[in-house]
Amino acid sequence: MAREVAANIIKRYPSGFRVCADLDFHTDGSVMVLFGPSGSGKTTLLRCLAGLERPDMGRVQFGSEIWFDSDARISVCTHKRGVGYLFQDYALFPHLTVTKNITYNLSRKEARERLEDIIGLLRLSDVRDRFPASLSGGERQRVALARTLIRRPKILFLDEPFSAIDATAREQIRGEIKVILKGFQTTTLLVTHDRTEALSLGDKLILISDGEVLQMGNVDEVFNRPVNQKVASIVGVETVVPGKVTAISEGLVTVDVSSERLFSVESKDISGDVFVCIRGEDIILEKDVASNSSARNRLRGRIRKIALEGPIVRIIIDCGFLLTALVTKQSYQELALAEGSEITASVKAQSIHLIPRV
Amino acid sequence: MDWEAILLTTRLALLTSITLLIIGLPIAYWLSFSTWRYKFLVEAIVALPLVLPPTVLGFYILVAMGPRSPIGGLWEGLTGGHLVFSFGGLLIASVLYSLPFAVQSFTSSFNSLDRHLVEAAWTLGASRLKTFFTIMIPLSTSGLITGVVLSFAHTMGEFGVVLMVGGNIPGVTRTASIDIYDKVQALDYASAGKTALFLLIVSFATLSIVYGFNKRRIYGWPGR
Repeated sequence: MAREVAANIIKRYPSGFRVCADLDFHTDGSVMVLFGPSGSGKTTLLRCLAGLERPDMGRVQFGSEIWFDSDARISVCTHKRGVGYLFQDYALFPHLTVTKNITYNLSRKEARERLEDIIGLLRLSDVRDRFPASLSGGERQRVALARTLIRRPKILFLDEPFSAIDATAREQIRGEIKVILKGFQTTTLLVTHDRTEALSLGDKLILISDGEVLQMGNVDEVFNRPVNQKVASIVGVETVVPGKVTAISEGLVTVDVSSERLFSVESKDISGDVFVCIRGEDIILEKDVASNSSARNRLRGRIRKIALEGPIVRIIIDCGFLLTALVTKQSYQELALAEGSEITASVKAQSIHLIPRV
Repeated sequence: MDWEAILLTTRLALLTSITLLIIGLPIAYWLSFSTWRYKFLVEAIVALPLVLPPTVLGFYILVAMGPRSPIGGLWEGLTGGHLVFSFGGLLIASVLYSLPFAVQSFTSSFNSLDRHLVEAAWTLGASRLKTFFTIMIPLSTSGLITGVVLSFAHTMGEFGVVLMVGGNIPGVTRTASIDIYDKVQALDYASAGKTALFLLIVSFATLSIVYGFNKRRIYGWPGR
């Protein structure tokens, strides 16, 4: 049964910065991404929900449990909330071995019943008797995750979980983590400022900036339909649509997006469901059904909407899916574009970026 | 050498260190976690014995412990004896005098702990008390040992406060440093020299052990 989490809190800092968040969601096992630029209050919000930080005002509720209520002077201690929290630096206990870290504060019975499963699942059997200082970044993360997941938290908080992992290993580890989270069906709230991370891991997205929640919704929805200019500038003007990889030959990846077929160049192995990302400035518009050009992708569509934003014009084209193109005002005038007119959009295969959805 | 005085001093120093470990830890925990606006006042009070002349501290303790004061009166009602010029009174004075050595060492080692480790323990369901004993204490051992040993060494050599509060009763309140003073007054330099050398060696040895121990304490590199 899905339980509802509702939080409406204000947290002020002496510097004048304040986090003023109002959000609610169901604990249905999905991964929610708390996305926003650095210093936007994401971690503060997470810490308030976990009880590590005390809001100045407001209320936090988890199902029928009230975790915090400034009016009723209720503030449930972190250790009684039953949440899981993965710290950015993993916070492994340096004086305990991997096994002792994982079973910390568990009863002997629980430890006996659950330890082997979790060690197997997170591939930790080789390092089980080692101390944290001798582990790699990825191993530390798996230990921290095992330590949290073994007590089956009601909700899992991940604070920038991949920032301490070097870029080369990040993608692979991200895939592993996604599989593990899906396996546990634990509702997860993940903090990140990395859009690739948000797109590849998130089911839903909560966009936060300057301490305020600006938009909540499905990941592609927020990326494609920002509610205002501020959200648009944070997510970047880009088309993000779900697609499916159908073939790969000689480095050219074929992706089906609704009824259209797109081609992309991706050096890494990719298959199955993906998010297709196309930046608005990479799209070239032509009035006619143009003859030959080097662009691999040529999409015929109808202009849905035109928005003038200073020297740049944003054009939304319906070509089986909604594509957002950015052109200069001069091009817009020369081509005499109008809502409802037919247009051809060309995109080079290198400009189509694929993000795997596990 | 006056073995009676040395034994008495050692006993006093041991009991002082143990008492300070028990009362110093909660004070240090509070100082390290509290966000109270006026916390600095408590910090200043704890540090006072560092800068106050021992005679001033001793004078106030003497007045506070006198039979006509509430503390002295209560002690007399409970035990029937005087607090001043007794070993119990001496212990209380020593604890107050060495308080900053213990509390400041404990607090700084708690402050240098990675706060995330403490919070991680809380998120793993451990209560504050359990976190304190299973995470904070084991990871602060060097600071705890430093605090205890400094209090011990400081008490071994204390003079002014002891003289004010304890007087000079052989076997009850006559400590090694007072013994040295007495011997020098009596021009018995040979005996004073022996006791002084003994105190010097004990102090040097304890400090060497502490610093040597703290240097070696690095986690995660077994066998090094």
